[in-house]
Amino acid sequence: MSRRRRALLALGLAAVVAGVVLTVRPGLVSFDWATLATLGIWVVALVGVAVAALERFERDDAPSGGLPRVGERPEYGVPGDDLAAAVADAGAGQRDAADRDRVRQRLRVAAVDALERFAGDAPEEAERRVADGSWTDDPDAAALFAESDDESLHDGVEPDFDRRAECAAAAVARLRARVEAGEGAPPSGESRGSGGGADD
Amino acid sequence: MTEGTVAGVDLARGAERLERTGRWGGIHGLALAATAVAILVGEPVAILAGLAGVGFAAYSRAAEAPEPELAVERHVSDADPAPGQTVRVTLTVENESGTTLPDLRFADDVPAGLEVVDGTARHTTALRPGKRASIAYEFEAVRGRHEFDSLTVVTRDISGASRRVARRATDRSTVVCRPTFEDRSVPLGDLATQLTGSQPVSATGEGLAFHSLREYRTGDSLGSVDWNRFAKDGELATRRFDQPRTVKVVLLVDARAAAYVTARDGRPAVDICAHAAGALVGGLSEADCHVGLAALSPRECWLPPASGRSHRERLVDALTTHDAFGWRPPAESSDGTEGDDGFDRLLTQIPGDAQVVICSPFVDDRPVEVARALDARGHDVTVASPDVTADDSAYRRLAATERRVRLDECRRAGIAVVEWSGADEVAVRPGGAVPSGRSAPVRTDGGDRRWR
Repeated sequence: MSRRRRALLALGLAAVVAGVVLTVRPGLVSFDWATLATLGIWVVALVGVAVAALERFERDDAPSGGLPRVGERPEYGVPGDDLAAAVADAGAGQRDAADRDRVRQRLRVAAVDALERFAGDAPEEAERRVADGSWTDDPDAAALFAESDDESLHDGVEPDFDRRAECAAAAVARLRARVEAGEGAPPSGESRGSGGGADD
Repeated sequence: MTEGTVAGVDLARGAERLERTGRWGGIHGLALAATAVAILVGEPVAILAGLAGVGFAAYSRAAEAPEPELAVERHVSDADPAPGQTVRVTLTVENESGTTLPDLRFADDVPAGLEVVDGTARHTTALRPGKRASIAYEFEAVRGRHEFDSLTVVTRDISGASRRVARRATDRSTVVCRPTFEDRSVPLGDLATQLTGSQPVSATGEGLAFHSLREYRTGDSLGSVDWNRFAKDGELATRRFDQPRTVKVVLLVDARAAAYVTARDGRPAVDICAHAAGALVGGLSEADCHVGLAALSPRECWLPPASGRSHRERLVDALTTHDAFGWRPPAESSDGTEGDDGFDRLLTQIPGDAQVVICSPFVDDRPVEVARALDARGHDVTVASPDVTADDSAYRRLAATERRVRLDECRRAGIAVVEWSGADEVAVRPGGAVPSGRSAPVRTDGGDRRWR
């Protein structure tokens, strides 16, 4: 439900409550018809102005008056931005669990592939390390894939999903960066300390 | 490189639609409420004021944006510019409607890929009958055939309650920007045709350069017998010579929607790959290879391998002007997926004795599947991959890591990989497989960073 619909729903409920109260207790509010009429006109006018302004702001073509954008090159994406958008779109609630699982699966595959390539792990070993969280020294990144007793996960709610996903992406990239910098990847069974997280 | 629609307006050329702007949304309620209140308080003047509001609401509902009749003249200063050259466009619109257009807005439909660098391609005005309005702007030329053939026009009625949006067809002005491709090559494998040529592949037979000796077999010509060895050891041996062959190479350019990505100057990877393929056309043709061209794209492009000056020009022309290598990604299918990339069709078209050079940014798994499928069918495969990844966010660094893993997967499969970053020189990475070629590396900027 959009914010606008929620506001209209709240307005409607308030009107219903006011109507019921005034029906049950007609003398609850003493009416001054002139004041009420003035107020009513102002309320209607202000609501109208607010709705019109809202529509103007929400319409994409408002500044151009219906003309297309011309003379601009199409906006091409940067590799990786699609995943960032998928994470941003995936909510924390149970309804978005399938979307989160798709993101998690892509990151899991990336982590396993990177361990095989940059840490020299066998496929089974890489899978095991990703599952038990020993593949990275970042606890947030490890928590994205690790089995957890967290009650919130049982409810299908992951309030920290976006942060964990970003940390996992950064951790996979670090596997490559360390190898290319000559530091080597973290060995199997490395102790997990305080995490680095997404470093940007 | 014509485009069906213009960004921001989903209208085909020549189509139009009438829409309500919603500007006076709420005026009906406001007018009626004011009238009701006026009746309640018993003020006749207030009632009249309310009725005026009702009348205005009715007018806004009944009014309709005028249908303009316009004469359009467009002048392009240079129809054959060099890449990077600035081209000036002057557009004049004359009102031939016979009535005043109180709110006329128009925008020249600048083809995708062209960026306006000076002036503006749009204008808003009121135009009396017979009067003219002009705009002028400049764009920077980039590779491709760019067709100016329409104008987006928006008219409104005087209240602004409705507007008419149309893509008017205009006389066609074509700008063709042909980059200069330098001759470059990449490592090739040993797969060759049976035709004698000039490529030093591992075939042996008639030739000049000594290759090896083998035991004499019945039927070997007496001229090929090594008589010195026979005199020394008493054994008959046959001399073998290198036999240069003709090599067919198909340049397969990744032009799927996934390849329309960029990391630096707004150029999509498809454009970079098209430039690399153009350089390879020259380099491989100079090496007497038969060169073909294919696009991995829903937009079919296939030129079978051949040789000769005219064929080379056809290849370069296709890389410059074919829709498959245009600046707008192929449209998605109705289910939101990219649709068929034509690879199954290409498998039936690519000759069995042809080598394949895949030009792709490798930003997803599909090029790996394609390379491995071609390798499995016996083609010698080489990958030429520009790096269009970035490193300024965790997800972008992840994408760069995934690309590295994909390229390494190709190397492990025995596929030669050539990659480069931005405008840097191509380098064959250490550990790359079988770099049997002896060729100069590819430069993506044409050698002096002129490529666009």
